[in-house]
Amino acid sequence: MSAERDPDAALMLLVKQGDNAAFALLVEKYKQPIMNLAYRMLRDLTEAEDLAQNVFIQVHKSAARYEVSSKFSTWLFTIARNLCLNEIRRRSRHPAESIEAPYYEQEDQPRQQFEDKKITSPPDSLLHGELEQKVDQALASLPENQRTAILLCRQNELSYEEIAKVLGCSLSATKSLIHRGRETLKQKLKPYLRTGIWLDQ
Amino acid sequence: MTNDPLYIRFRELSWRRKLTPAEEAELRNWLATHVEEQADWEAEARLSDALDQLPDAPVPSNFTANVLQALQLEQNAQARAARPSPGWWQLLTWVPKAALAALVVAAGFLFFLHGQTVRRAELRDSVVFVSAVKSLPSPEVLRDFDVIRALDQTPPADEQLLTLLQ
Repeated sequence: MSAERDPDAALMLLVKQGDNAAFALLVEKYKQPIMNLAYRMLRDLTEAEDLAQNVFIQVHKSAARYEVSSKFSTWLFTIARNLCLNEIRRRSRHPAESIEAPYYEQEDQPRQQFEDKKITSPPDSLLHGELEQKVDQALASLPENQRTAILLCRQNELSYEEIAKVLGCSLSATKSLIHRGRETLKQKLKPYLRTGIWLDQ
Repeated sequence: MTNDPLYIRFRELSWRRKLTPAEEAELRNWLATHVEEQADWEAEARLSDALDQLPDAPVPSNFTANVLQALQLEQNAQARAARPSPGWWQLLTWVPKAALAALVVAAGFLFFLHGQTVRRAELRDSVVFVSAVKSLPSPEVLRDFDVIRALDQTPPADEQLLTLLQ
């Protein structure tokens, strides 16, 4: 994989040289997929947003060590998945703590808050239908690696080989994870998938 | 469930993206001869549609700005940590302490000087007092000093007896 074949890797090489405009372009491009992954993994919008920000900060911090050995998106999603796993482990150890608490106690907390001009209420806008809720719940009930594999699968960016790299397992194991996850989803959503209610909405 | 490579290939393709019309047509032809797989394929297709229709998580419009600001703070913190130590501005923190120490030393020195001055003045006064005495009596005056002094040690006169004798 070379930077010529992966424009994002080329941008990342610019970031490595200190180009913050290139970094902003990468953030703009990947903020939605990273937010989607973080939200489906953590199931908390605020924490997902914090985590997504941390993913990009981590990317910038690691820019000096970045080598174009694979696609940028593979590297990015690997960082995102690792941070999600860390957060899930942290939650299991300290279930009551919020991810925000230590951040805002820091001396270097943001002095200026940028206004969010897009007014959205997550529960209403995100899960506006019962069927969406059912799929969301079914997805959440999957083991983490199956869920991640299925979510990454829906990213057009990533091939199966790249998903395998993110998950740290073989290609056949990755396909097996996706297959088993989808079989579970099909079982859980059987009434809806059979009637096709979803498609009629 | 079939292990036919053609079906598996299309199924795996459909996990990642929608099939192209050509792929769809090829699959339909295959399904026409494998009707037992029809239901499985329908369920696969509907699940893919269901997953596709999951809404995106809302991303705040200020997301990129917040990331860049957080990054700026990180970089500022790193720059602070990377500064050579101690810098001249850090020496300024020692100025008040050094000034206080100098003040204490100066006060001690002044106290010592004052003590010296007082002692010298006392000595000077003593010398002046001694020098004010014009002359001492000659040694002849003290010739019978011991006799006179011994007289003081005789017992007091018996005044009653003296009265009777008178």
